[in-house]
Amino acid sequence: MSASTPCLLCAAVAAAAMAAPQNASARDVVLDKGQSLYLQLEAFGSALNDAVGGSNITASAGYGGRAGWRRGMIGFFAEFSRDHWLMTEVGRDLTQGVLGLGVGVEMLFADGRLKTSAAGGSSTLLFDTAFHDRGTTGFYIDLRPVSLRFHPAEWLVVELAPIGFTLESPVNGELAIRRIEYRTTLTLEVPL
Amino acid sequence: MTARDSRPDTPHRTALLWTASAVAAAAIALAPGPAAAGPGKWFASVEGNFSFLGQLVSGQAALGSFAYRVAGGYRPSAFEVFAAVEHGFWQDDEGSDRLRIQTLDVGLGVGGTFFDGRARAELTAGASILLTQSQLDEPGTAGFFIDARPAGIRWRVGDHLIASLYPLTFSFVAPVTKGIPLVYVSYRTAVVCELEF
Repeated sequence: MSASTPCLLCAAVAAAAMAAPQNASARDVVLDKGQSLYLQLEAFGSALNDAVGGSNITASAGYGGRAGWRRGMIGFFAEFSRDHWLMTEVGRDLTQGVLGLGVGVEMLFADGRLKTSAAGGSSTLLFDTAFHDRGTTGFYIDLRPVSLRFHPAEWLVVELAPIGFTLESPVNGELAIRRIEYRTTLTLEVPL
Repeated sequence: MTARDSRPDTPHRTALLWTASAVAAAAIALAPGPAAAGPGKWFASVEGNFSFLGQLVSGQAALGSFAYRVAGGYRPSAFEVFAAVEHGFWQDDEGSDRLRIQTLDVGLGVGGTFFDGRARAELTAGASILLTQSQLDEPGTAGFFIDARPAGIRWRVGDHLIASLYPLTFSFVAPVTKGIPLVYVSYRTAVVCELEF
């Protein structure tokens, strides 16, 4: 990914948002005051992560899912994620990366069109490194300050988190492995 | 993969990160109603932006970058065009945490508000001019910059005043592009005060 990718992302967000209905119709106002269960499937990718203040240009791509319960504007969820790391130090190998298992909290606002969420849990290394064995487990934190939510159908919500912050730390202590990712995430949500 | 020494104060920094998230969530929850802009409006804004997340995790006390910006433009509809001037402070190219390198970024941008004016995206690009002496380059050297802000939240706090928060933006500032380039890539948080008239 080059530096032009965020620009394309910015343009895509603006185009999608401007194309979406601007008025509070019955279809796109979904801040349900009652309780609801939902499932989410997501795909994400990131690049230029360690380029910020570092010499490595790391990239990653992965997928995940969330199952949650929402009451009014506040929701709670459990999630998993598989994050494959692209190594660029020597060659370009796509590794098994890490498995994340965690819980989180979210909040809808702006009539359910915007969302912020935070999650955290365990992060497990899924491949052997020079110093660490597969299965070593640490923690992760995932912050998505602003997600845009579109409602193309009654039974579907498409959610785009243009830039989120994820800290994965599957190995702590000596020779810790800490990886910062600025992810773009696309999510499909269906109510149960 | 990056292997770094563990820091004894990491739990405190993690707690700080969560606290900051909770404060941001509270601010959003207490937000007033839509900030829809009327058509055919001029606007001017001032902002401060900074990057800190990467530094927070790696245990650096300093910010990754800081900048202030003024912008002015015209909003004929939800779409808008504007000009912006930014004075940026970046980490020393000699390796210290000090924000010694300064740039002046002058550019033009396009933006758009959506979701009843509650959210906004913008893209700015233009010239980036080095203001300070670096290890290899003289002040006055010019390159380019790109600033992408895919999602910001807006609150109308008065008849003519709008506050905005861009939790994460992407900035690519390259005041030196020839020889050995001087390039700063950062994910920044920006707070904006906008006057509409």
